[in-house]
Amino acid sequence: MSTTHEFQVGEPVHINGLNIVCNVEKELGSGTQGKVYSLISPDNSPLVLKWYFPSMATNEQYDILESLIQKESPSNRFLWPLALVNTPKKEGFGYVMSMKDSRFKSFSLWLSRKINPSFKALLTACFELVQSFHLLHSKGLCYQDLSLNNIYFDPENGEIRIGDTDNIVINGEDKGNVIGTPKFMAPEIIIGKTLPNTQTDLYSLAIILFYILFLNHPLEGKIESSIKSLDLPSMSKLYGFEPLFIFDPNNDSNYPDPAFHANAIIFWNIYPDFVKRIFVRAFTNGIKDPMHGRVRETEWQITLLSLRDSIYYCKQCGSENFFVPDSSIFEKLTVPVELGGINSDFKVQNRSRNLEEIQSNSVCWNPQCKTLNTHILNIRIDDRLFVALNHDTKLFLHHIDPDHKYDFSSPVAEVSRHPTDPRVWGLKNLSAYPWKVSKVNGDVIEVYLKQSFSLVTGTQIDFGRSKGIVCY
Amino acid sequence: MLIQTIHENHVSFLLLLGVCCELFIIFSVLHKWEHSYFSKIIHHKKPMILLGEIVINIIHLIFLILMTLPGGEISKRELHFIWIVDCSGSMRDDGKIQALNYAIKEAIPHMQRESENNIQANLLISALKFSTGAQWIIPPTRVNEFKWTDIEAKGETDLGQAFLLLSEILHIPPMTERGLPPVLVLLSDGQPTDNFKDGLDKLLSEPWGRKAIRVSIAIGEDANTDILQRFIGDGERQPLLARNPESLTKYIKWVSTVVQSASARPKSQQKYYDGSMSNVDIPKPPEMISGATDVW
Repeated sequence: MSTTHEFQVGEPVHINGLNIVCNVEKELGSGTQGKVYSLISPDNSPLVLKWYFPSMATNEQYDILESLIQKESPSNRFLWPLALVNTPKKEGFGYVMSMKDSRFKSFSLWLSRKINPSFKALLTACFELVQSFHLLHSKGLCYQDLSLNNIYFDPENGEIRIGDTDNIVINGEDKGNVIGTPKFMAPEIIIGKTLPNTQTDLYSLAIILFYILFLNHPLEGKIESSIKSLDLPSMSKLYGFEPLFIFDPNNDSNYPDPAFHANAIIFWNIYPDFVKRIFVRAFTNGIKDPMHGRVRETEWQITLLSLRDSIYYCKQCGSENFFVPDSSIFEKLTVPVELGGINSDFKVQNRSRNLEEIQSNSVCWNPQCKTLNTHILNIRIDDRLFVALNHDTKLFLHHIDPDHKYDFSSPVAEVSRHPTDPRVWGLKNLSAYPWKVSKVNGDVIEVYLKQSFSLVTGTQIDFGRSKGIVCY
Repeated sequence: MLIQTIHENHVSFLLLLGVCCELFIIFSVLHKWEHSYFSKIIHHKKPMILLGEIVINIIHLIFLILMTLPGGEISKRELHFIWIVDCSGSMRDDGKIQALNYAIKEAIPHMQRESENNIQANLLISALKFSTGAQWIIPPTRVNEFKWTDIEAKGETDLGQAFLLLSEILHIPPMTERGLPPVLVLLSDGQPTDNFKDGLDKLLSEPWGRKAIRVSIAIGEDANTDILQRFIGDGERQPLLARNPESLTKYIKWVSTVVQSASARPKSQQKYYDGSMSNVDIPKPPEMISGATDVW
């Protein structure tokens, strides 16, 4: 059977924009907009062809693709259109893009618990998502149809890929065929007040982050479980006309139903307060005030990275836990004794009492374990951040150079083990710049590339652009 | 001093191997495999000691398994997908019933793949056939375990009976308290021979019958599309007309993937939909096939 808008296996595809001829390998899938085929290319680069259904092959879509191809992809995380494809033999048009590697999995596999990533991988994926959309939005572009269906991640390390980039338009142009995916659409779109824009993208992004970190929709609580048949009218009400966050501090009428939303409750009890606060803001003010109330990408970036840096492994069961000192304690601990204005003996007492307070919060979440974890080694860098030091912790320019925030290109330090005494742990310098390390006894040593110093409480490190102190 | 921060993940595989080996040794002791390779090892280790080792290793393994993140699978709603299949005598002509059996089997893997990416629905598939009377042929089955058994064609076209049978289950219970609108797919090639109207009224009087996504596929030109349209109800959707086996396969694949996901996994919504408050927004059917000449 030959139809005018479909390709057969083996059929040649002339990609003039790339100056190559490929052959159709197989059909990968069919969606609402068109069909997707994998291609065999001359240099074996993995390419994919998306060919629109005639009803979707609009002039507007053609213009969108043309302008996307002219622009550069914001980062390699996007599966960006590479070239338009036209052929007199077929109705409509299509475009080619790179194919994502098979190591990238759909987030639905995580929500169905068919894969088992770590908190670290999940938080890395969340950070990369936020970072990618920050790049996209800062170019004046808007994604329009952000949902869990078009993002993928590597469960091993959290690297992401973003697909379905053919709906990306210049913010405010009101172009494109889509208004979004139900459950991910901002309430103001559902009630018909507006069309997709960067502000509605921010809402969808918050929904995605909540889904990934809590395995639940942020608006699906008791109100949702009381609905017998979740049809379109009830969905419009739940997600559009009367949205209510399940953990709204001022209204508990949509609190999670333990029978169906146990995940939300379990994870809510695990994450530190600063994470809960930002989600509360995203789904209270962020719903009430779409223009000014939404959490910005840069705020998400700081929160997600702080959370990732706070991961430590439970000494008993090895589960990943989050270690976060209370901010007031944090201040007291990092203010040098000389500046405290308090008699130093008192300060020391105060300090040890505060440490106990920190420790009391560090009970492992694992219901079979519940071990009290004390003495979690960490490094505090200036007053900006702290990082729990585990056997596999690495520090990056992001941590030690305030001018290179979010630079994770190569590690500058890693936790290492003493070559002859495995009980001794150290921090190894992986950068070309020597560190000045002040030991507790007052000695100052220089630590060069590939050298390590012992992680002893109270040791101070001058990284050049910032100073750190080892805490325990 | 840093022992507590050490987390040696890679031991899990070795532990698993160790447990397997030792279980095998115990097994061979129990079965008195004196001549086995392991009998030498058994001379060195007494079975009770081995048993102790296994218990310790299993405890370790359990700890490692517990190290996965907390919580469970996201809670999903039940989605009933029901095939309503005409197997009256006329379906025997031109291999229609064989084409139908083939098309549904062909659609199953696509259906399973689609459902794997579904974060909202637990898909349950069932089937009922009608000819002279109507019978359930497949009870609600999880999509991964769903197998289609070929059906044969003979008898009348008692569509009304099928609707009555269907209306018996479209309320709570047996439907769940927390579901999605069910998907009802009617496949027929002809003219009902019984009073289908009473059956349809009964079906639409059930709340779940009204809320259901109703899709129909006419097999061949002889089908009474008017009745199939009345099953769907008023609206922009029309019965799909499968003129040949290829288009039947195509439509069946479409209903079993795109329609199930419209009821469950939200797909991108198109911008200019008419805004009518239908129960479920379903995407457009596949483009009508032009130039199909091999008419049934």
